[in-house]
Amino acid sequence: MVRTTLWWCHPLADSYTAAIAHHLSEIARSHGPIETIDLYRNDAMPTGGDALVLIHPTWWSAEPAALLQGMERLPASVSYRCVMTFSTHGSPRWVNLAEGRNARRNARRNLTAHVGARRHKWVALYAMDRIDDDARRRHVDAAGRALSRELRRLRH
Amino acid sequence: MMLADSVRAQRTTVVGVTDAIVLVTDGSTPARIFAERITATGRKGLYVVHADERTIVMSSQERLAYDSDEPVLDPIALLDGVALRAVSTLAFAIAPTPFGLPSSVKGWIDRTLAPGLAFKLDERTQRMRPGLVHLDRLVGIDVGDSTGDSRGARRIIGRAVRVACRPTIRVKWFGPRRLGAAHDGLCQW
Repeated sequence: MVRTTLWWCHPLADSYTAAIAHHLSEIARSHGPIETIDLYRNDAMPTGGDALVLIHPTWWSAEPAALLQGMERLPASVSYRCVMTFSTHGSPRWVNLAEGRNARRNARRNLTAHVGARRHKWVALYAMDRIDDDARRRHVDAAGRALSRELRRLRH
Repeated sequence: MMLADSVRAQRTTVVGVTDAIVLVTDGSTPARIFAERITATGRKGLYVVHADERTIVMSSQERLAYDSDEPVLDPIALLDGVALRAVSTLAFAIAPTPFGLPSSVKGWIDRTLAPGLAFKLDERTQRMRPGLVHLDRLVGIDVGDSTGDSRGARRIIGRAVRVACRPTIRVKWFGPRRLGAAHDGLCQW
């Protein structure tokens, strides 16, 4: 059994980020108990477990401010073994590299240190404004497979 | 005085003034003190924005409007945008948190630096064109106690926001030990 918290953040309940979150919640449910927190409609805080899964768009090379605020309020007592981030970018990968990959660095260095996690996995879709619906659907499936792999790894 | 009135009154202080400044603070006590010290010098053309909890969350209506012809709905964010068009320096006075840029300032960036003001999207190529090309300086001032992730905050201001400016813009970062130099700079520029 792997206890997973899905912490997702987008103003629109019918957004692409929401579609990823719903798909990942189905995957995570098949591996054990899950806690889903939609930051825009629920201000609960993650309570700890095995995997913390962040799902968010990237705005100005970083997380939306609402998620940043959630991280600032995260109690120090909350702990996870692994943090995974599923993010989407309007701009291509090279632009995000030039801007410093701030969301990735923040999750990989600051958030993992805060929750005591030893591992961080980053799964991102770049240039999403320029790709077609098929490519977006393929990314949702790929994100599900990546989550499944990671949860299987945590179980062993 | 209503908040919108006070912002409108401030706006008149930057319009028509050369070398005016928009100074965005994270609303923390050290940042407010820093802004008050600059204000106390009587520097003309200073427009101070104290970002706070109100500026953090982009609502669903705001997100829908973001892709429309009127991307900003919040009246205060609109006025901040008008002031930003009239100045030559954009400065941030922040106390970095363990997660980098304070969420209040990130919220201000998300909601104020909207399409049409900060950038324009080329409809054919979907590439971003800078919109803040009139700015001469982009300044970050770390007023924190050195416990936060200053580098993360610096990257968002110095790299991500810089993308919306012209390539030759001067970017300055002042650490906690150089507040005097930041103060002098903001008074002289």
